[in-house]
Amino acid sequence: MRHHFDSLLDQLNDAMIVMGSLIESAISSATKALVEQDKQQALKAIAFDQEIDQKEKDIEALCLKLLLQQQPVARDLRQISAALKMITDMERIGDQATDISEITILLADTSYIKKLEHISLMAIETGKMVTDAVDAFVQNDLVKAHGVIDADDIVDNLFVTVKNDLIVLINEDVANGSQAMDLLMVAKYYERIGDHAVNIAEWVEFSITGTHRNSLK
Amino acid sequence: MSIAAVERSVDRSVVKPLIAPKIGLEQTSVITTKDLSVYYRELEAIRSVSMTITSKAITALIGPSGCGKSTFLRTLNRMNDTVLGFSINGEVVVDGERIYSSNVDTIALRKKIGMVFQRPNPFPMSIIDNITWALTFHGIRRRDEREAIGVESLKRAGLWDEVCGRLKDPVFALSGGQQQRLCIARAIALQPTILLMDEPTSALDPIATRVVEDLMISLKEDYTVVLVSHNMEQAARVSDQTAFFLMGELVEYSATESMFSNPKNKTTEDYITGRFG
Repeated sequence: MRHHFDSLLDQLNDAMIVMGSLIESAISSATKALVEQDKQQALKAIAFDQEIDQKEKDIEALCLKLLLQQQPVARDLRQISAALKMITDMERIGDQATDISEITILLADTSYIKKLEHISLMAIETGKMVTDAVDAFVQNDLVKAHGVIDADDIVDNLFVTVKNDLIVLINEDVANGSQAMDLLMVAKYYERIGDHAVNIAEWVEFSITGTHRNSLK
Repeated sequence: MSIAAVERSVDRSVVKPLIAPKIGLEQTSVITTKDLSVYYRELEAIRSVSMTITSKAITALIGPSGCGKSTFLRTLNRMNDTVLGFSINGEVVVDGERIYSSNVDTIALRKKIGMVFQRPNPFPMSIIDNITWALTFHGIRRRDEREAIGVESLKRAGLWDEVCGRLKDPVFALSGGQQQRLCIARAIALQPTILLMDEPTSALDPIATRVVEDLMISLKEDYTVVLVSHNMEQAARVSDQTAFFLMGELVEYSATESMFSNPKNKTTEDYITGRFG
């Protein structure tokens, strides 16, 4: 008796999946470009950001239409309001993939002062966190959402490792300083992507349980 | 002060009744039902409902047609007494008094518990007489006192500014929304402590509905308001507590915000999200 409403909610889920996959593509393109020092690949990652921004606007419009026309309550209200909050974090992830790519272009013609093994691990981990957070939303999977929240510690530890490595490199040779700062920024962007994935997972948790862990109540 | 004098008054806001009536009491009522079952002959319309309705708040009763919410509401002021085959089990306690005890004065009870119905039901008389007429039967013999209460009641119902210049006009000159607020003013005039409202805006347009909803919210400062509503958005907008009835049973009763954002019961969730009903 609410086929139209249900089909609109399906549309919302589909749009979230599309936006999620755009973000995953942006992160993986940005990472590939960084590791391979590939400017063209970096430009691809930047191009994804425009699509992500458009998708955010589309989903926002769909959520507002659902709120206006369906006046949702209970689980429906939580699902729609969670989606509205999630897309803000998703859009920011797209921005950070762009930020990483801009540094990649800047460093493309110079050799790296260190291997990017830990930064690559950060990229893999944060990419998985984003995928799992969006999947958890679509599948109403609380366990998966909690997995994303827990995974943030791994990313944070990797960031500290990268930071300490870079400090050592600067101490060894002050000339490393400039690139070390750029690589620290890259690591920080991945760390922030992890934080945004956690925010998304917390809204998924709210959508499923009705409780947001950061709420004052 | 006579009605004519009131109507002539230039500054309507400073009109002072001769005898200031006490509209709303400091101590508002609490209603408790204990294992309340209501029958129409063999039909069990309400099944073993136990709940406490809090004072100075709006409690909304929601549920699909035939769920028993209106029966429950009308049982709270013994409006069902004359329905053929009506009987109850269990208790309804208002301010510590069992209202189905044999020694209860039902007229006094209904004075204490005012009721507003789905459609405005003004008496075919003037605007002011609609309010003052019943006061005669409740022992207020002085006309100026009745009229003063009438003026205060109209003010409390938010209707005074719209009718103060035409109190002697026939009531049917008023719009539907104004008539409904007049009915609320009429209920208030008897100085009840509880107001029962049975879908009070179902016959009103959206603007009049909003005005009546605002009035309900202001009334809860002084009264215990129980609202039956088919309009769940309205229940979510105005009420503090919501009770969901289904097939005569109280399925869930909780704070409205909680009920509409995170209902505890799957059946409640299915109903309020439109999956059945």
